[in-house]
Amino acid sequence: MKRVYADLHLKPPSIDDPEATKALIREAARLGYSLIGVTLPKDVKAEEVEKLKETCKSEGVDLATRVDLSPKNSRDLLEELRRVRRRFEIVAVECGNKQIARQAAKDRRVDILSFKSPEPRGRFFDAAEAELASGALSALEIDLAPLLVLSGFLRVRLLSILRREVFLAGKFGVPVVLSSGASERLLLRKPRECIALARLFDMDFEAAKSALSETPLSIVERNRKKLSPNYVAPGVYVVRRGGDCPDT
Amino acid sequence: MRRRYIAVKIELEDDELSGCGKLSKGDVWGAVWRRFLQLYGEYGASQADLSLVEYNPDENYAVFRCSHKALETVRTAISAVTEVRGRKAAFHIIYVSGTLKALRKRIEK
Repeated sequence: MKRVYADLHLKPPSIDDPEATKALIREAARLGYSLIGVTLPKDVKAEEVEKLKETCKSEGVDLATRVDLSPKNSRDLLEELRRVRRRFEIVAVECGNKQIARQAAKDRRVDILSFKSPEPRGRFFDAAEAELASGALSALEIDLAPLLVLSGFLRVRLLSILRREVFLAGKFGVPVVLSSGASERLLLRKPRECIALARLFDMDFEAAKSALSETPLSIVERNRKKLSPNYVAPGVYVVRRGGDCPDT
Repeated sequence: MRRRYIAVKIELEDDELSGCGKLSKGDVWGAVWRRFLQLYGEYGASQADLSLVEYNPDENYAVFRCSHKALETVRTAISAVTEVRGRKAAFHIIYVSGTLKALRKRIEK
């Protein structure tokens, strides 16, 4: 059976620019992705999401709605999570400081931990963070766009940070998601090319393949189940409705 | 020595926007070679036995040759190219083959 690949982090420059968004989605589909996550604004309207879903359908890819939260502190994070969790299929948190990183790692409503800074001091994925994340099923996201865009010392430093983070994730069993983080079509790469790029930070072939396929697919599948009207509580689902169900 | 031939499709930003002409063989080779040196250094480059075999400027296709042992490093370097002669670009690997003949056959298909 053909493997299904996913890119959970496409960042169209603006949702109001349908042409740029469409070009990005078309390119992702052409490069072999079957599922894409598009970052949407927190206050996105249902009609805009429907339009985007239509675009994806016409290109033959499945859309997962995603929101990137950049809270100021952990209290802000909790508030934002309460507001957005039921509205988006993927919730990613950009961990701007240690307090937010720790809170995000232990909160089961967070799917993806994202560290944007190329500076070692701006990234908080250490052993304690990895341990918390492994307990809460959050995944560590590695965007490949900065690797392509940065050069010289900055890229060298980023590679060394990513190598350490991938090692820690493996040690503590934290799932890793490889994404493009692309805001334009020329920053997108084929899945096999992403696997090759992951070699730069010592991610082995099978782990990289899984980070582009099984891990992102399982995140979306898990959340779709939770967001479905049949979900009651963890492990409890409505399996049948209607007149033939006995009244209690 | 066993070799691998890599067919690459070069995608460029819209020509109307950049107002530039076609790329030359030297531009394409320079972009990949520079990236390879940045990522793997001269020691890595000496092991890769990398060369540009063919380039079609009309179709923007190129064929690179490398040692089979260095295939993954060459693949990484090709994927990491983001710019050719000041123009934003992406190099996508289409096929990898052990012989040029088989590669050409697959491209024609």
